[in-house]
Amino acid sequence: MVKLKELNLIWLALKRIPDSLGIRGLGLMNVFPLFNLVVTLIAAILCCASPCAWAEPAKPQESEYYRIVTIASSQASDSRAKNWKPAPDSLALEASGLAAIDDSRLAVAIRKGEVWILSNVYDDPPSKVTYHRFASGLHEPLGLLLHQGSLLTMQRTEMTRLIDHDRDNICDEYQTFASGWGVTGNYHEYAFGPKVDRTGNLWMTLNLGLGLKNEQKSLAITNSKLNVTQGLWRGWGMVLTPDGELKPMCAGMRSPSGLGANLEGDMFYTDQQGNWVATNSLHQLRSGAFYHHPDSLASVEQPGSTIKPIDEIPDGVTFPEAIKKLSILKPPAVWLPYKKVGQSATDIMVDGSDGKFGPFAGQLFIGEFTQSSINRVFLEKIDGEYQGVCFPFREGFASAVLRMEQGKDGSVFVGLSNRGWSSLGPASYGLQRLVWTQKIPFELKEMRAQPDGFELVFTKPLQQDSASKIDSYEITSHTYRYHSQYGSEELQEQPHTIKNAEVSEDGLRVRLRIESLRELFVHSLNASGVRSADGEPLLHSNAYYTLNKIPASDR
Amino acid sequence: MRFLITSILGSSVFVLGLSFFDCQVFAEHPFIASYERFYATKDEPDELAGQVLLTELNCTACHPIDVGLPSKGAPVVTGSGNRFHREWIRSYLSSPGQSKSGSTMPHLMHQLPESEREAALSALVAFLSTDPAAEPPIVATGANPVAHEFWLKGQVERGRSMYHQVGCVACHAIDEAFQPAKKTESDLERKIAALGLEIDELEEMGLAAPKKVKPVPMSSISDKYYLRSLSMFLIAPHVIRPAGRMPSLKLQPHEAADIAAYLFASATHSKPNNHEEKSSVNTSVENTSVDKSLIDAGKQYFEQLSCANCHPMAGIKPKMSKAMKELTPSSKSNGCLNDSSVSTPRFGLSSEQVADITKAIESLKRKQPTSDQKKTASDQVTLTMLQLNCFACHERDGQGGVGPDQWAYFENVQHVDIGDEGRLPPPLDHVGRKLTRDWIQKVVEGKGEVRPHFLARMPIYADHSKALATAFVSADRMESMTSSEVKSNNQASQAILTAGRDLFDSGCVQCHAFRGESLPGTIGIDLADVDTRIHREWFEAFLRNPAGLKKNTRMPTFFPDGKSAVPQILDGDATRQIESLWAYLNAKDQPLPLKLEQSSLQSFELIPTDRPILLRTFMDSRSAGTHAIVVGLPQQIHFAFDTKRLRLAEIWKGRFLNAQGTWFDRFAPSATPLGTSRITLPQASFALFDQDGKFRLVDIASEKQLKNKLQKKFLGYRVGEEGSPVFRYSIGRFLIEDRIQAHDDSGLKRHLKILTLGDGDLNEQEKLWLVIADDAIEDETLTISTRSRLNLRVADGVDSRFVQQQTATYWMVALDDRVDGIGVVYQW
Repeated sequence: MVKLKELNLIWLALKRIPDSLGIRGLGLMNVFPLFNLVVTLIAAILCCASPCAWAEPAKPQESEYYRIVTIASSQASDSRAKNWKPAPDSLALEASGLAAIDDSRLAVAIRKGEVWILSNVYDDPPSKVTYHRFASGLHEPLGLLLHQGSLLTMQRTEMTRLIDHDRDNICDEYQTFASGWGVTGNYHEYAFGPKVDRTGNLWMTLNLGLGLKNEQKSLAITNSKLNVTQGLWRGWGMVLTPDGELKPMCAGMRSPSGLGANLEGDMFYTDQQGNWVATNSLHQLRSGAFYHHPDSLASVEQPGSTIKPIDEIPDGVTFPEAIKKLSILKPPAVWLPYKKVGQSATDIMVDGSDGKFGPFAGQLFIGEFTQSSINRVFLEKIDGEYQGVCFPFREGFASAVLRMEQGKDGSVFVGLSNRGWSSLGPASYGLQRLVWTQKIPFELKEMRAQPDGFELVFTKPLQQDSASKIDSYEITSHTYRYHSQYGSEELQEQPHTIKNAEVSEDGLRVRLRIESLRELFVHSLNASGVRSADGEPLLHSNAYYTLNKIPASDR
Repeated sequence: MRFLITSILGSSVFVLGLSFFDCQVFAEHPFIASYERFYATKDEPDELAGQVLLTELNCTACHPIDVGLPSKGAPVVTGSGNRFHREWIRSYLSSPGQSKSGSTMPHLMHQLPESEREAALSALVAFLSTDPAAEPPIVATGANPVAHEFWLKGQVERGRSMYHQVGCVACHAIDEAFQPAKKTESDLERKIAALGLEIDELEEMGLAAPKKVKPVPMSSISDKYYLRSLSMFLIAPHVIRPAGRMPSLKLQPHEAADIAAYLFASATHSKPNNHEEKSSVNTSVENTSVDKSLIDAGKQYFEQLSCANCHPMAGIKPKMSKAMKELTPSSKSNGCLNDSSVSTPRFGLSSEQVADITKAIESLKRKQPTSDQKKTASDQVTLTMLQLNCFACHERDGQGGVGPDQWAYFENVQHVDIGDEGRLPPPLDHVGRKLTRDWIQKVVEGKGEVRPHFLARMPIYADHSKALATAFVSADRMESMTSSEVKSNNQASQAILTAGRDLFDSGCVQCHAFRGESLPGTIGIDLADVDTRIHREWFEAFLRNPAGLKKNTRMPTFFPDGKSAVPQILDGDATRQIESLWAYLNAKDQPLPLKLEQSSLQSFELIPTDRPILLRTFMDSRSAGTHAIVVGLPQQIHFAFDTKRLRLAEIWKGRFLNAQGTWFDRFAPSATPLGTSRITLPQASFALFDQDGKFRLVDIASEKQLKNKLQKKFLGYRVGEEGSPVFRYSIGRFLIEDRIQAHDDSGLKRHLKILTLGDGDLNEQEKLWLVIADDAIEDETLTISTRSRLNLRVADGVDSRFVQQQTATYWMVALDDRVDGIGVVYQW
């Protein structure tokens, strides 16, 4: 296809002719449509005849590198309508849990309470996909995991193992695998998981209730010191150990709608912006940690709690101050700045395909509900704690991205459903698959903290000139406010002076030396000036690094 | 970009080389949409036309006037350098009418000596570029997706569709490259076609044909705007243009970005990099440092040329000219009306415009205050509708309405043909009689959505809402209304309400929605709470004779000759029927019309036919509570089991359950059985006798104390061959399998299989008792009845017992290691 920009240049060259003759001004194109036509024709002919090698390549598009294949999608309807209905005469594939079974089949949990087995899901185009109902009657299942030969799902009130004793592909035992957390009947009390970590623990996360009614309060627990009331272990992450023991582990969650382990088997969750949660965030799950929301501390004095009761929560201080004042508070491994990297984070998926999904093997992918997109995270460990960076990755899904599951060929199944909230895209629900086109995008692959700046790693060799020029980069940093209000603006934003940019010998890395890095601040990079050796601009030039700790020495 | 589009469309280069904006007619004089449509070609000068010009050309911004013809004002120009390309600002200032076809901004620079003009332009551009104030940021919320730099992410084809569907083309040019999804004929087209004619032929035959509407010209979009500033403008036009002539169409950020991308793609670029945007927000301001003295000079010119009269600017006062009354438009030295005058703004008016303005000024001078309030209000309505160009969409008193070329672009979501009413903006005849003042105001503010099936959107005219609503009401008010204004009749008897519900079922339901529900494939206005919008008097008049108030309406007459078409309801009394319908529509607590209820249930009612249906859900706490499993059996006998408290909680017969709330309602409401003969069973399923032989229920109150001894655990269920579940649970040392099935098609049979965990015999304290009834009427040991009319039976050899405690009489059977099963039959 003829490049847009080349055409424009030729177009202009031609347009200038009459202008230079001084006929300018009368809206020439408006007056003489015929002229316009002739010029168009000439330009088109010229462009076809001679490739315009001197022009810059067109702006790269995500779709050149990652292709979206639609397996099922619905017409959109008002996602917040009180009497919402699915599209008539179709399966309401509000995909809320995905589990790849083999190289043909995918199990899909849907929000109305069923599990379906889809076959031929890898077909491209997916014209022969078949649907088979495996389980039904579940209460809003929001996760699905193939575990030790059977499917585990998470209902509002229990984790359930779906067993098919007679192997007829229909579940005949719904075994209660774990239960016992508080459910007051509030709509917002979602339960997510399970996902399995390195030690075989099955993790789950429990949403806080929102606006409990009186009858619901009677089923809740109150911590009168902090004046918070919630159902038992709401706002907590819990594990079911391989021995079958259900244990509360960590607290402070608001709306933890996604969990996932990295390749090392450490478990993470995402939280969503709201009261006490400044913006969406990614955290490592571990015993004794507290993340954001004090409502979860309603359960802090219950037997099994891993957190010591506290007397007071600071309200209205900056996040770095809150970390100082509240010893149980652990900073997120990654803040996902609002709007820039989504508006409501969901699932976490590690690319475990060892390269079959492109150049980001081992990195985490974060689902995004409102913007119907997927973001990408690179993590590193500084002094034993995870921290890292997020990048935009792929947008344009048909509806809210709720679940992701990597298929056996490395491609990624994406479960969609936006009911109850809002999202971009033409559909209310569905299932899509994201396929790498085997072309490597020019991207920031990694961003690593250094004592005096950052090291950037790119997916393709760099053009020395642009990459070593400090003007090719901009860096600012900001933090957030920790408070009971909904979300936080970006506080104390400040630009950083970049002292130098040094390109590595292999041309894949740049060492940025930066003045006055700030601990516990998000450092936003825009590397829009950098070009690859082929002269390409970055597919995404923005990156947001959560610098909880500045490393003491070069690594 | 145009080339790209053409190649995508794959049509002939010859046709597509032309962007549709190129094809617009270049207006030589100021273009005011309603003036062009109704007055531009009139032979006689018209006073009202002149008044429209006086406000729309901002004449009254300089020439004070004591009757209400406020000047429309002009765009906010602070921050212009942030929004517009500076070269465009310069070219626009140097010659507005040539830079933008039909511009209403007068030429001002000619008032300066020629030698000074270039310098003045530079100074003005510098001054207008000083304030980098960006548009207010777009607030993203869960309901408002705002992608990072969304303005760069617009898609041309989506923008093209949106532009032609949401209402832009009511005023702006149509792009022939866009094909509406389905060409729906308008009522008029249908009629003309029935005569074997086409619209164009009407005029040739000397008939009154609907006149074509000239599109409002746009600037050369991509020369003027950045994608960012255009998107921001489309989202909130009133921020920059408070006059509201370009209204907000309630575009979401991504929608605005799509339209902006489309407009850019369709525009003729005169510069190579005009659509090149830097990715960072702040850098769209060209941060060139400008000489302070140049800025000051610009400010002086701004003041000198009276720019501030129309473009409010802090620190600069408007400079008023002669009062309107003192003007002599017919004289030779007629200032602004004369383009050869060097000391006044040059508007480039057409001779018709000059004549209309002259006429308006002359009549203003003679104007006497009138006491006819109705006429004053009516004139006010017409003037406002002309000024805001409401007529582009709405017809009133035979004037205006969507133009014939635009008809096809007004569609409804399902392309259902329900006449013009189903897709064209409604006529505003007697709207002040029909709608309440508050509702009109809400609609004008863009908040009154009763036609969600329209693709076109009612724009927001917030600043005019109050005055316009008041004027509509004063102009259209009927004398009879005050007395007959009755709000919904709160005292309506149930019989009246039921009659209203039946009437809705007998007719309205075929076309109208009610409380968000409608019959499949039906689109129409939702009639719930109609009293918040419509006057009772109009409602009755419309029902009695729809065509009398709305010509061509498809609303049928249910009361031909004043007689009801449904004689069996309320004795066919029309007055009482209308009253009952009104009462029902406005009642809060009445059931849905039967047909809607059935249609809704059709999709969501669970009806067990050959196999049991099982569903986990929330139920009321008196029933199975938050951990409920409901099971419906093909014998139409159903039960709810509480898996937290391990109790059979409720049983019922007949219809089973509506699953809509459980499946699809965000707020996860409790499920309610649909059937009859509902019986709630004891709150506690188990009891024991403690060491002192005292009876204790294992209920919520005692659960905590007994926790360790009698831990309850639901273990799940297996689904047998025929589909009925077997629940498994443990309590204390007992492991129980609980199977509940239909019995003799008239009741339930429950079988509990009991396994004790651990060794040894159970002593009396370790025995657990299954509580079967708490309202037992003592009868025999193995067969009893209850006050809730339940007959219960257990098999021989079971240890059963009655215990009286306060008002309750418990009947229970012992679970111990001597029995391996207990059967209980429930019949009711």
